[in-house]
Amino acid sequence: MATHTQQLTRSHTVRLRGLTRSFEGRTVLDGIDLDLPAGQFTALLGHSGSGKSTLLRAIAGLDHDVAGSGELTAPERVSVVFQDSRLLPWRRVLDNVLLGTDGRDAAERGRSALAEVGLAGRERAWPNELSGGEAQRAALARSLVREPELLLADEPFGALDALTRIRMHVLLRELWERHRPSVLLVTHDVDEAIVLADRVLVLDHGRIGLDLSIDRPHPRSYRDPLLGEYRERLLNALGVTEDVTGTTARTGSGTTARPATGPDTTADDGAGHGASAHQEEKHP
Amino acid sequence: MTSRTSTEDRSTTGSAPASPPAGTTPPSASATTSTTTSTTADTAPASAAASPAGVGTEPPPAVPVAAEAVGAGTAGGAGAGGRPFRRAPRTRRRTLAPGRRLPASRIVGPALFLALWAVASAAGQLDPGAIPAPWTVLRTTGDLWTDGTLPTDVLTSLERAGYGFAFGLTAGVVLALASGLSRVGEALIDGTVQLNRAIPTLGLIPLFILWLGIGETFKIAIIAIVVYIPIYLNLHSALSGIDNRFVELAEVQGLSRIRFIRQIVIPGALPGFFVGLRLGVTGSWLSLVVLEQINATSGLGYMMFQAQNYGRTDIILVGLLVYGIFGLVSDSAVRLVERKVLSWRRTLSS
Repeated sequence: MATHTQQLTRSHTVRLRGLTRSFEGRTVLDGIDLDLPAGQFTALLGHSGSGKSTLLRAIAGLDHDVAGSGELTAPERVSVVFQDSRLLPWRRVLDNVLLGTDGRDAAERGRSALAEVGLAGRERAWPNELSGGEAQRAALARSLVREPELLLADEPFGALDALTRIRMHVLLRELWERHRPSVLLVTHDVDEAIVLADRVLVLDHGRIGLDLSIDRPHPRSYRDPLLGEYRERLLNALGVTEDVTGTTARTGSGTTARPATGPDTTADDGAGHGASAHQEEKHP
Repeated sequence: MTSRTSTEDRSTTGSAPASPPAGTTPPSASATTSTTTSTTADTAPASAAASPAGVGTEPPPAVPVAAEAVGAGTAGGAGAGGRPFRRAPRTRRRTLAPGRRLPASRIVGPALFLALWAVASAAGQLDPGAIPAPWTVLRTTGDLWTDGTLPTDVLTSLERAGYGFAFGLTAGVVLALASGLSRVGEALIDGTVQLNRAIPTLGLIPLFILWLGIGETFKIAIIAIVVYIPIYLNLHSALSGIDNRFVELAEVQGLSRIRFIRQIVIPGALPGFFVGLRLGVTGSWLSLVVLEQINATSGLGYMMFQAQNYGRTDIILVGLLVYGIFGLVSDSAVRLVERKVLSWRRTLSS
């Protein structure tokens, strides 16, 4: 927690008032006011370097030596899923899931969390026997087993291949529907945000540039033409403009927003993510 | 990768006309042929970048492989579309790995050496005064063992090395934990140890003899110092080099400080500890030899020193043999423990 931030009483919701963070004089977060109601699935978009990770780390309480001010309220039980799975290589999968979890029924809860993410039977595996997708599932199980009120995910699928990522989207949404934590998903993938979240924030120059509710039923498909409007608004907010041919001109830096002129360009899930198919599961 | 894409490119561009029969291939085609038959992906970028020379000279795909033509093919083999490259079917890349390990490969060398030694001795090519025959060494070992001098010397040496190693190990671990896990400890200990490390330990022998006398205490103290330094250095750097991502993880998972140390810092530092441990074991034997040959009245080194005075090379070889066995056994023991403790690592190397 940054030194000047007042830690108010714990509550079930996230509440930020005038949250400011700066690194070596450069203001990264510039007086952010934000409320995340309990149980809401929110995505946070932004260019790389826009401060989305800084915001997430501030809410997670991981920014020890960062200068800043403002008010911050966060729930008691917070879980974080990182971009890398961050499994300890010297602990078996189940022991990784149980890291920091106590209680007589801990092992049982760990097993059922692993079963929920589709890793039943892999409890005794070592982390380096898992594929990238499996490792990230285990990381999800580790965050779930603590029954978080708030789940913070920092580009959790950024390192996965396209097919695995789609499976993980479905899984994350399912898990959210079953457990209903508040979710703040940091991503630079506009489609990921649109398909998963009920509310999308765009962080721009240290402020919330756009706060968009997406009222489309789940499960959503990339094919849904109505999502195209949202996509367009988000891309505009990110400073990405499109011309008629569907090529994307990037005015900002580092966004991976893709062209989206309609259902056709994004119809194919795999191709829509612009990567080739890899096999997720690894059979040692 | 490159080879696969280039194949696809060409089939879609349709720039290559129908393949002529192999016999009627125009002269310029020879280079193209060799490119096509090459099995090396490395040649693909080169041929793609070369000038478009061999237009319309596509050979049939099933050309026999001519590996030696690969180099020539890269020179002028680029055709229309810039990529007249296709991997020949059913050719396997030759492996660059050294291949499967020979059976019992570890003892082949030593066995051969021993055999040469025995043959040369039997043929009378070696001066028995300088290099006694293997069987002489064995007989001397038996003699020394039965008359009781060898067991006594071995025990004495083992005791010295054992005590020195135990003290060194304890000191190294305790100091590294104290300095690796607390900033105060680091300030007090680390600089001091680094200073100690700069002084060659064997150079402390004269001082230690004056302080502790020439008995066992001084020998054990020197061995302990030689042992503790590598153990301290490696364990300390492993403890303080803990991955910051895991520190963050521990904070997120709400680990207490004790649990953080027990579940993350210590297990994460074990690989480094074992590096230090193996160096420490080696160091204990090294310092033992030096100490026993200079300032001892018992032990293996003393036995060898005496043998030198009487010109008994066979006894010296017996001493070296025993030292060798000590080193081999102790190192294997450490490695065995390491494999057991770090079993999670095995999956990486296999």
